[in-house]
Amino acid sequence: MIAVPFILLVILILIGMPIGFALIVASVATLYWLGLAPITFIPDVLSDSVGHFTLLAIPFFLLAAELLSAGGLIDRVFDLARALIGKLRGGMGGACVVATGIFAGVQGSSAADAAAIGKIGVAGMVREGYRPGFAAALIAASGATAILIPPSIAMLIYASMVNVSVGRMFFAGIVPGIINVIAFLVFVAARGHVYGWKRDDAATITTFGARIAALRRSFWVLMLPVFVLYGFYSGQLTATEISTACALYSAIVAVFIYRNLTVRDLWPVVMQTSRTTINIFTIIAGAVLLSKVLTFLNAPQLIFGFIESYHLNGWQFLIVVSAIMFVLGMFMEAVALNVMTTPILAPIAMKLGIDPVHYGIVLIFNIEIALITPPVGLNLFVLAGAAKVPLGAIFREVVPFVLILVALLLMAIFFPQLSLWLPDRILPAS
Amino acid sequence: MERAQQGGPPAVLRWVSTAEVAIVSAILLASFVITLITIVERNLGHSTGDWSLKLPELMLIWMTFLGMGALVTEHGHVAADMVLRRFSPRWQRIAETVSAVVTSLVLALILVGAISIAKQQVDVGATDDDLWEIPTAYLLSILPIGLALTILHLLAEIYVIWRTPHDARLPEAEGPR
Repeated sequence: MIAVPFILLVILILIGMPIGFALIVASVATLYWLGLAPITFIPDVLSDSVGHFTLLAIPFFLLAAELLSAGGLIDRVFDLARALIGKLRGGMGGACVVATGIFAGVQGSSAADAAAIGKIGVAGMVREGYRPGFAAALIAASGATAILIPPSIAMLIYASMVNVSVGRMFFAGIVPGIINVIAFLVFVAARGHVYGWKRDDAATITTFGARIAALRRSFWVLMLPVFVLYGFYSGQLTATEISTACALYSAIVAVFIYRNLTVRDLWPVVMQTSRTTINIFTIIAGAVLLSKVLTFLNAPQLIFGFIESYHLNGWQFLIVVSAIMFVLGMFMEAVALNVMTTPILAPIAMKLGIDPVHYGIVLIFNIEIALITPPVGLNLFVLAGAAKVPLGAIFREVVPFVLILVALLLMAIFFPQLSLWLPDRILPAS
Repeated sequence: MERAQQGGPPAVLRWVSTAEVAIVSAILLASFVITLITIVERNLGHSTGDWSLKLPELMLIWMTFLGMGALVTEHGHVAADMVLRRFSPRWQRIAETVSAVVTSLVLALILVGAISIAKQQVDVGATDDDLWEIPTAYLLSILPIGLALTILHLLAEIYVIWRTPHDARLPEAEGPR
């Protein structure tokens, strides 16, 4: 019976139905077919699923990112990354990885990260002889790190559902996030040696003076992640309040410091943020409804029964979960995957003694992989659209990045301290 | 976008969807201001009361349901259309129509539930104490309103699908619409 909503969902997604609606339709059809709930249950769930104060942080972090993007942030971040990394072999690719990493630190959406760096990054790499498919795959994969490096919308959603501290989740993402960026950098450098890629040809930007100048130009942008983490560290502000302060800070930086936006330009930015918000919240509403349907179908009990019958311990459970998510992630959108699986799997993880923050980081790695696994890998689509590269070419080139992420996922599973060390020191669980 | 230019949604529909997104944006800004006031007031040692938590939560519900339909017309919802693109133009239209009709029917079913909830709340005379005793039916009226608007957008979309010429069906780039 559990397969019914999933089969329906895949069919609906494949005929092009918007993912948020597909989740709602698959859930309602299953509910009615099996006679699981009264008619008033559905609107109740749909409204309850989005009406949470913590979730308000999502549009505000999105607003901050939109403001900084519209305010000329991308060029500054990209110049800084080129100044820092350009001298290495395959410097342009490395610069793209670092730029997406820095941009991830000021906003929490992987698609936004990939799209923003994708436009200039792919063109730059192709100019230096990289294959277009590889260039697009590299940015799609490194853009996915945005959900691991704080602030992260995926972590916010997870934390709001599991009632874990958003601050602890954000701090937990820092070490794995940095390792992720370094892993991609090493891969690009190694491939650069094999293929004989050039160092970044803009030698002038790799002088010491140019590096300092690039750092100064990006100073106000780089202050944003510091600001976010200090907000959590101080314990004075909630996630929603920090996101509000971030949006205000970004508006001030874009309008009064960088002066790339006028007050009149702010309205279109707010409109764009609203569109992204509606999109994400429609998916959240649908995914919560589907997770309720799965609960009605006794999915948690079935999974727990499976775990008991095979005597799975914590890490074995995490590997089974990752395998399931790998398959689901091929067809499901990231927010849906997060919202749908968390209410079912996180309580089981906790029963097995897994720290919810550790489980959260494992989940985020799985979502990262889902973002770049064909056929429904959102970041691959974003790059295909933004950089005008055929999807087939990106599909072929993305495989090594998926393998790197799988290796990092296994590392996160077997070494919980990678996720827990920093939050345990800075924001110990009460 | 392309579809809008080549016999896409009628101008009035585009205007309606832009107006809906504008209202959602205004609500977003209002919730931003409320949260800012809450931070400032708390740091001054004052309490803004439960409304400052409850109202932004309600605003999120309004934003979601009010904007859901507008994004249908703007093709702003995330959808994977790589299989759809392999179909002939005729089958693309059929698949899109099936998708819109099925969604409309399911939303109509949910609409019945939402109206039934609103009726119950009116009958009981339920009010929200945290929000100045405003009747709950008013506060959650966005559910039936938003669902009805989304159904209207979907029906208009079906009209557009069959009115638009074959070669203006889908934008060029593959991927999410």
